[in-house]
Amino acid sequence: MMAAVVFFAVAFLAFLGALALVFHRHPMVAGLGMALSTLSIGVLYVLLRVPFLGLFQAIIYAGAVMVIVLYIVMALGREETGPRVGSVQTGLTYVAAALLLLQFYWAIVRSGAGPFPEGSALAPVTSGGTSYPFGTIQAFGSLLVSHYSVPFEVASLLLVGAMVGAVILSRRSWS
Amino acid sequence: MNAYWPIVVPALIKIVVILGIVLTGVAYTTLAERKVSAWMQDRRGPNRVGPFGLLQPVADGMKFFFKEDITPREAYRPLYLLAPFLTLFPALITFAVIPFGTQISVGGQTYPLIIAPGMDVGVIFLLAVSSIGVYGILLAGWSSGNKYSLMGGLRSASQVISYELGIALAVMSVVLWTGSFDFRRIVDDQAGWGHFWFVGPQFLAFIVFTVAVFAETNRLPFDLPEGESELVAGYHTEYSGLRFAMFFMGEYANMITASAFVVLLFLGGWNLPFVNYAWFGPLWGGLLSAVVFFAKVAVLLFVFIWVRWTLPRFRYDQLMSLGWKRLFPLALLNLVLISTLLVLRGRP
Repeated sequence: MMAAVVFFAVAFLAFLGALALVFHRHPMVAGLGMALSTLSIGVLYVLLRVPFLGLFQAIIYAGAVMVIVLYIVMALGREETGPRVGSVQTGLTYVAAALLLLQFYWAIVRSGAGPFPEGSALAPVTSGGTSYPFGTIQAFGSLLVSHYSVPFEVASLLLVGAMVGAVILSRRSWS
Repeated sequence: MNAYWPIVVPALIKIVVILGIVLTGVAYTTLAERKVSAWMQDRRGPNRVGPFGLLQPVADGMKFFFKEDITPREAYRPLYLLAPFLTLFPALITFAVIPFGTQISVGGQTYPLIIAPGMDVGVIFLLAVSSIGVYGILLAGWSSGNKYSLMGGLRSASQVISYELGIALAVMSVVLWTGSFDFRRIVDDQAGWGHFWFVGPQFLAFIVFTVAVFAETNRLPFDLPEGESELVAGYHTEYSGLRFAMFFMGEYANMITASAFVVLLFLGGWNLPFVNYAWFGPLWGGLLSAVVFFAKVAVLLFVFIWVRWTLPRFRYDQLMSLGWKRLFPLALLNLVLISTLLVLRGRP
C-alpha cells in the first residue's frame, strides 16, 4: 500500500520532469525538469530494493551530469532558444520519440517480465564461495568485477576516448 | 496501520530533537563567528542584546523576518523563489543519516541515536544529498539577473564540483579500510583496544577531506563565490529578508554537517579513549555519547571559524589548481597506498 502510494507520486514527478524537459522553452527549466526526472527514477530504484543504486543515480545524474549541463546553460546566457513548437523539426522529433516508445513497449511485452511477487526472495549473488543477498552493495560490487567486468572496462575506455576528444576540441592552438 | 507507530513515533521525536539542536546550533554558530572574530581582533563583538549578547541570534532572526523581500525586475521569478529552498533543504535532510550517539534504552526498548536507523549506506546518502545542494547556488546565481550573482554562481558550482572529487576519494579510502558504507560500522571500527581514530592511519585522507570540506562549504580561505571585493556578495547578492536568511542558515547547517562528517569518519565519532559507554548504564551512556559527539562537532566548528579569521582568501586560479593539481592527485595516491596496505594486511 505504502509502496504503491510512493510509486505513483514519484512516477508522476518523473513524468512531470520529462514533460518539462521536452516542452519548456527555457533551457534552465528544461534542465531542472530532467534533474527532477532522474532523481525520481532514483527513488524508483529504492522501491525496487536497491537503495544504493538510487543514491548513485542521484550522485551521478542529478549531482554531476545535470549540474554540468545547467552550468553550461548558465554560461551561455538567459535567452529562450530552440525551435518553435509546430515546426518540421519538432514534428519529426515527436514521431521519432513515439516510435522509440513503441519499441520499448514491444520489447517489454515480448520479454514477458512482470511485477515482483510481493515478499518474494530475489536471487542472491554468489561469488568466491560467499553469497550476498540481492540488492546489497556487496552483491552489486562482486557482479561488477566478475560477470560484468568486460562491459564495465569497455565503458570506461569509451569515456576516456570522449574525454580525450573533448580536450582536443577545446584546445585553441597547439603551441 | 498499528505496525507503523513504533517506528514513526520515535523517528518523529528524533527529528524534532535533532532539528531543534541543529537550528539552535546554526543560530549560535553565527554568534560564535562574530564573538570569536571579535576576540581574535581584540574587539568585544555583539554585547548589547541580552547578557553577553547571547540573545543576538534572536534579534537577527527578527530583523530578517521584518525586512522587505525584494525580487529584482530582471529576475526569473519561479526559480528565484525556489533557489533558497533548494539550498536549505538538502542541508537539513543530511541529518537523517548522521548517527549522533550509541543508543538509549527506555522501558525495555532500545532506540539507536539516528533518525534513519535502517540506512546502511548513509555515507553515500550524505554524498548524494550534498551533491544536490549545488542546485540552490546555481539557480540563485542564474535567476537573479545580475552579473555578480551569475559569476558567483558559476564560480561556486565549479568549485563545489571540483572539490567533491577530493571528498569522494577520501571517503572511499575510509570505506575501503572498514569495508562498509555504514556510519555506525565506521565509528565502531575506531573504538576499543588496538583501534585508532582514523585521523591516524588515514592521515592523508583526513588532510584531503578537511581541505575539500572547507571548499565545499564555501568558507574562507575558499569563499571565492562570495568574495566581497570582487562580486559584492556572489550568488545571493540580490536576496534579502527571509530568503537571504535561508542561504545563511544553509551555509551554517552545511558547516555542522561537514563537521559531523569529519568527526564520524576521522575523529572517532562519539568514542573517547579508555571510555566505555556501557559503564554508565543504558540511558546515561547513550546520552553521554551524544554529548561527546556534539562537543567534538563544536570543536570542529570552532576550527572552521578560527581558519576563516586567520587565513586570507585565495585567488580563483589558485583555488582551482590546488583542487585539481594538488588535492586530487594526493587523494588518488592515498587510495593506492591504502589499497596496497589492505592487500598486504589481508582483508578480514
